[in-house]
Amino acid sequence: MLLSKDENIKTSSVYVASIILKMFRKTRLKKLTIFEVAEELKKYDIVHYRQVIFGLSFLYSTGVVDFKEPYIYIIK
Amino acid sequence: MIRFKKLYSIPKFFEPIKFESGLNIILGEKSEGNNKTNGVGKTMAIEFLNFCLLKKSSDSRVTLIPDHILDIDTVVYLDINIYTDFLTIARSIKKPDVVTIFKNGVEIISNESIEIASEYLGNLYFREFPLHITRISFRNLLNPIIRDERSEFKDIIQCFDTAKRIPSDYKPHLFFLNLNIELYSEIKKVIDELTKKTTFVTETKKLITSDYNKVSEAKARLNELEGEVSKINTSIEKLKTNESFESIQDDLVKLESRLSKLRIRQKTLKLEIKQINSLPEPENISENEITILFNQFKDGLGDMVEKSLQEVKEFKTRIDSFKNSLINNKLKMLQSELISLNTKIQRLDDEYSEKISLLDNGELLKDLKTSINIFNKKNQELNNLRSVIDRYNKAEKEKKSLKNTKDNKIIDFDDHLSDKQVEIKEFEETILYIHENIMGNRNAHFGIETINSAKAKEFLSFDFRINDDGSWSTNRMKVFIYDLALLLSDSTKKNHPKLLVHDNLFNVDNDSLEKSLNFLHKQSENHPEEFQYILTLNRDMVEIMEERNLIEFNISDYARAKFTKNDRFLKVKYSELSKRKK
Repeated sequence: MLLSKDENIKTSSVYVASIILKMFRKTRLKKLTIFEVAEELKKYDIVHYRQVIFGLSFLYSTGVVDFKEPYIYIIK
Repeated sequence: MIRFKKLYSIPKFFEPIKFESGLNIILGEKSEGNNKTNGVGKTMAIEFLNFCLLKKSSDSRVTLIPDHILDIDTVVYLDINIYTDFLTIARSIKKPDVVTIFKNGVEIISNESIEIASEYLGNLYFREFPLHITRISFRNLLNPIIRDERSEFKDIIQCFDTAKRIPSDYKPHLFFLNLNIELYSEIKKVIDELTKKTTFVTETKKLITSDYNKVSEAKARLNELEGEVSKINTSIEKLKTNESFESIQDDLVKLESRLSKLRIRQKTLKLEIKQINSLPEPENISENEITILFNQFKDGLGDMVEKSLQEVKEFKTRIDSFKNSLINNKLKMLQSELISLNTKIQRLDDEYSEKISLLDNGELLKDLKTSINIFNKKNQELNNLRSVIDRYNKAEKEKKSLKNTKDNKIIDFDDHLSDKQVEIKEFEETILYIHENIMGNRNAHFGIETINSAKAKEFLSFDFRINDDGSWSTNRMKVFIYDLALLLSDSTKKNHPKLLVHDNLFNVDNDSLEKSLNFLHKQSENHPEEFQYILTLNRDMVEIMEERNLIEFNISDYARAKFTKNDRFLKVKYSELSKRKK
């Protein structure tokens, strides 16, 4: 299961990942700095380091993004 | 004196119409099997008369007659007398903009423009007048004498087509009444200038009040600006004349350039620090938590999870170490650089202020570039405001002066009217005499007044009231009485050509028509050589009166032309062109 039953969907790794993907789609860029990503996530009340890391880890584990400081790359 | 003698054409397209002194009627008759008397060509006959009397081709209905009706080689002739001279005016259909005039059988004007022909005829008419009398143009003279039918005879002054909105022209009326045309023209000119000046003042005021509530506020701002600009200017001048200016100027420019560069770097540093601070506060995430998370992904997505647990852990470590290096190294470095930069900027800024204050005591010029910039801006604002206020003041002054000139000249005209009261009264007496004969009483009034109002475009008013005036047909009677009085009054007939044409004016009540015709007949009988009056009339308008013997004369005795539906003026029925012939 991607979500546990007592988890808040609005802070879940899948939701965070979706916001990041939307950002790529909206900007039509292949890379965004981690600062830009963090700044955008704040707008959705994603303000904890843990939430950011989990969202990015989800995208990484499925091979969608990679990280090379300071950029998050889209690889798929 | 002007007399029409004969209207004809070569080749002959209509029966020549011979005019006599006294009353002349162009009659619309009934014909066998047709009782209609309209549209038989009475007005067209008057149009041909007008055509020969130099009416503009663009206004004439003659140019609307189709070519298959009227051969374009036709030339229309009018024989007239101006005093003792016998003249023939010839105007061709093909070239309506040129005129030929014969005097006593000799061609004097040959295919000349309407203006030249008008000048010639005007000179002939005015040669009997003393030189000091102001002249009006020949066509101007004729306007109230042959009023445009489309003026609808609504107003005694207005003689033109109401649709054309041509302003009223008092000149011919003043000329007949022997009043001062020159003074009238001068006042009209002043009123025109005053109108233009008033518009200019209003526009300028609008310009000023778009930025300020009132002109006085703008004037106060002008004084304030003058003070500010003067102070800055003095300071800059003082700065330039200062002995140390040359040496300090270089230092100031260098300092400004260094400060500018440092401020750009300061801005960059602040931005970078802000970016780092935008990242969330670091948290401890245990390996166990990552393992649980990874297993969740694996459970949910299965083979779609491409990376191993180890790779995800390494990914997290990469981000952690980037974040840590930012916080521990870069952020500290940036903050430290910013602190030192701030100190440097502060020091240079103090140094700059110190140098400026050496020259300026720090009163006005805190920054040379900014001060010059402010000076230029304020100076520009000052110049713009001064220029618009100067224009406004000048225009206001000129407006007042024009207003005074207008007031004085109108007073002069009032005095002039007072001097001419006897003649005006005599003219009124003629009006009352005609009114009594036609309306049966003397309940009428004529006077000339001046109007001195800012809104009125015309300063003169001919106040003419008759019994029960105001209605459509009574207004026609007013025009008839006024025109006839100009023709008959001793005070006006000196200048009047003693000629009058009324086309379609008599759409009035039967009693007024009967009395008017009988009056005209009496005048014609008693003073046959003193005037010439031409009117158009339909037989059905007078039939009943004739049957009852109310008309004291035989209409046919005065009929110079009779047209019926079967025997029209131009012999054939046609429709006018919608566009003029070229």
